[in-house]
Amino acid sequence: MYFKAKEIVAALFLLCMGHALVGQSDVFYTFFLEKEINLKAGGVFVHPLKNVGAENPIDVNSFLEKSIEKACLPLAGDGNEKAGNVNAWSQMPLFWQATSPDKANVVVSGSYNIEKESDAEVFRFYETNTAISNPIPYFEVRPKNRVSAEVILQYKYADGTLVSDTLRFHEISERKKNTKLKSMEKLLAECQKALEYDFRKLFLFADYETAKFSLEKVKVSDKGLKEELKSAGDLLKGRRIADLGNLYKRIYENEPSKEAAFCLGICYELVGNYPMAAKYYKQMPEFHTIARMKKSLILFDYLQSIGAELKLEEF
Amino acid sequence: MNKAKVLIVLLFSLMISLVAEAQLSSVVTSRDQVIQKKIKTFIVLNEESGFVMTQSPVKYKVDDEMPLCYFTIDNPANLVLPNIGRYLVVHELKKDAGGDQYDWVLENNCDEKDVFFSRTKFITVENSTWWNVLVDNDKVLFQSMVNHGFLKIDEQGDFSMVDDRNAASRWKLIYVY
Repeated sequence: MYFKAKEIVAALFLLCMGHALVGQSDVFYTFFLEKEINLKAGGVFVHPLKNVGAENPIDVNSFLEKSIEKACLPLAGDGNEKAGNVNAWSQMPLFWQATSPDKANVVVSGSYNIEKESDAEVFRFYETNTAISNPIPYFEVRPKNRVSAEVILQYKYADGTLVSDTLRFHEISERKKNTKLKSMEKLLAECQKALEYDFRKLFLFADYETAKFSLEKVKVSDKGLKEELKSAGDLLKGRRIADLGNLYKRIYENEPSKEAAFCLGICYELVGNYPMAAKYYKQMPEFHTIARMKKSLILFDYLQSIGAELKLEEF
Repeated sequence: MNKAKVLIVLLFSLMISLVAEAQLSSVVTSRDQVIQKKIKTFIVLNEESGFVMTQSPVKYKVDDEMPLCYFTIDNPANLVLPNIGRYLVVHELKKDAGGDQYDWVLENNCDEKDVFFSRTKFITVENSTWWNVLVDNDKVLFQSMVNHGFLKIDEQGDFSMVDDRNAASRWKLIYVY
């Protein structure tokens, strides 16, 4: 009885203080830089890779084409769809296929060499039983299949500078006791799979991870804004981040508080305006947010460094 | 420092044991191993003629599946003859039962004056299937226990017995896992 009365008093006190009990949260996906790649934002022209080997068992050029296609909208994958497409610039094409080398920021060319070889090594042994007076010699023939592949990619930028990437595969299978010999077909299939994977990862520079975003309770005196604030949770759940950001901006301008700044920071982060998000988060530093923003800003700076023009949303 | 030394010694011993394990202690398949179907099979090849030992000898081809033989010792009492060798029975491995489930062994049949693979069931002279395996560098010769003649295979793939050791065919045993 005593405790119930105490809780009611506390609730009334908070209400009198003008706090709107929002406390809504939802899970979003955030992007981070996985690795730097050798493409620059803008037009990419691809010369088919030259086969410098004697054989052509794997269609390496089709892997390169697919890889470039995927790179054109690098952040438009599953993660972005799950994120509700709230990040404005993640939908922008960073690269596109140029119609000629003159119109390209990067010209991709190169060569590949796939080699396969079968041979066998012969080993001579003698029986090892020491009780045998006259050990009998015998031979083991160990057949060996080998497949190796090397793909060299060259990137020539508009300013004339050159860089290169190398993809390699090397696999040897030998028949030994308790070890089966992989057929040449199987080794080639493994090589194809490995190259396909390497090409798929070649131009993927960003990855995503989940993050739970929780809106802070904000003190609001204005009756109209307080009423609007009741819909904040729904706006967050409904991925209406622009409306939510607009609401928090008005609240912050009307009655600046570190909680309102934090919520505004969340909205800026979710639409991909990391510099503005960092600016508002600063007013209410929190370890997880700082760590997340650090990663996001690295991606943001990287994209700008490769010449991406990121259209940033404002509220 | 001492731990590192111990570790190196252990690793070295492990390598030695692995190498030793990779080699056969004996080319002979014991009775138990036959029952357990853990047979040590060999391609028995005469490089001069190019024939592989089997009922109707076939030419050796690296990439093809070749007929296989295995060796047993029929009578443990005859296991080792000091400084001479062992009397082994040469069996042809029958992978496909297919109604031919007999045990085929190489016999020096003195009555017929011929050498061929016979079914053990019908062999009456037991030691006609016993062969003294003699080592000549990295190859072996088969000497019959019946008449001490040596096994020879000619250019047509026919078996015969010769008295002169130098005229005997040399056979290479290629172990097949």
